[in-house]
Amino acid sequence: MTHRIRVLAFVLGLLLAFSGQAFAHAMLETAAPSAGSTVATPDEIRLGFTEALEPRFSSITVTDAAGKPIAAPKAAPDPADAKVLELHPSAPLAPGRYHVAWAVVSVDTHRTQGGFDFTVQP
Amino acid sequence: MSRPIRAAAALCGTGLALSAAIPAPVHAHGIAGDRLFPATLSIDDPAVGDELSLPTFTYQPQSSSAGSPETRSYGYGAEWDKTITEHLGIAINDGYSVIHQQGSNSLYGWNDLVTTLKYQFFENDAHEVMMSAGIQREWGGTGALRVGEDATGWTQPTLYAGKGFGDLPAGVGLLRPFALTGELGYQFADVPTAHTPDGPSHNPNFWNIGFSVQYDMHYLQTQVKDYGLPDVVNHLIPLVEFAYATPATAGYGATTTGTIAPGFLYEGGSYQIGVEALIPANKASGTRTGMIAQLHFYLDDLFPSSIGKPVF
Repeated sequence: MTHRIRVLAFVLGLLLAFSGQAFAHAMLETAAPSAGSTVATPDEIRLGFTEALEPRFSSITVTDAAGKPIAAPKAAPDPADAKVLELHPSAPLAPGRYHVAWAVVSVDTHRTQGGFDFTVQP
Repeated sequence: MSRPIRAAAALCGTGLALSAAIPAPVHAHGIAGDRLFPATLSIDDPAVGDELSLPTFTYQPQSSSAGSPETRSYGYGAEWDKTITEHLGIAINDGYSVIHQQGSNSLYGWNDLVTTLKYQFFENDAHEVMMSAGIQREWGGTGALRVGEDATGWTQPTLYAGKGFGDLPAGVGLLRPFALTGELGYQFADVPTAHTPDGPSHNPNFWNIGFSVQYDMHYLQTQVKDYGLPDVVNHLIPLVEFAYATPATAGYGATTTGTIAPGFLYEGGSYQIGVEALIPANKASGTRTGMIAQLHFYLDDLFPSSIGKPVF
């Protein structure tokens, strides 16, 4: 019995020892505008994730209430923070409801995606 | 080699099979669209994955009844889940039980080894649906009879499913973080009636039915509305698990038993902590509340290029 417990303790210890090198899935941590918020016309859509992103496979799409995508260059990471993805609309957003759809790949190649709504006040 | 040594050897052997190649983007954990189906404690989740539950601690007190003393049972379990391909996985499950009996000697011993072969055959990202099918096998006689383990084994085909409600309309946004998962299995006993020195031992077949109701606070914060709740709250998934076993053939006294397990999961990214109460679902299941707690590791996050990825 003690031998089995020693083996299990060794495996657990090994995991804990290496856990500092973890590359977790990139989960959305912060958003501006945030989910469900009502804001003035934003200059940018800025999403912060828990892990660094692979820019080639990461995107943000914003659609208006009619489902039409807004004009904007491809989302790009913040040069100062590889965990942040930004989208800059080509023109100020008109008042109304918008949907943000994001899909990202973390540097360990795991894919996550999500979406939320926000409202631009008149 | 004993079971844990064999498991550890396999773990290390797989770990040596490192690969520098960068694979195509993949889903891991139990993720369908925006939905994470976490590792639940009483029932199995609908995904295959590279995960390790170590330890799973259970505490189950039982009041004295006719002819049986009051007992306190402690369980120390472990489960290793390994993907063979992206959608095919195996799991190895074992544990050690300690039963303290009032007015009598305590009982100690290993549980029967349980293995699972599981295939995830359906995923719909838009509707957050995931389904898998598997075969569980209890290897009878590998555990200690003195702690109630079976001398003969069983085989159980099982169906697993999960459904998130993120596809509900925005008007009922607060319902969108809800998810349901469930499993349905039919357990075939190896030997319906075994003849032992103490007389015949009957082993009926069983239906094993379980489901969970979950509410993902991170989903609420990031997909519905950010209420500015403390960060620790946004990592929680409150849930209730229901697990029942009911005889499918002549029960010889066996009846339906089950547990209702309310609790929460804390998602830490590469690990998960779960704590639930174990409430007997009926009188035949017991009269006192126990608990279960688990530390769970997502090996695909901890070791993405070695033991945390599919073999093929």
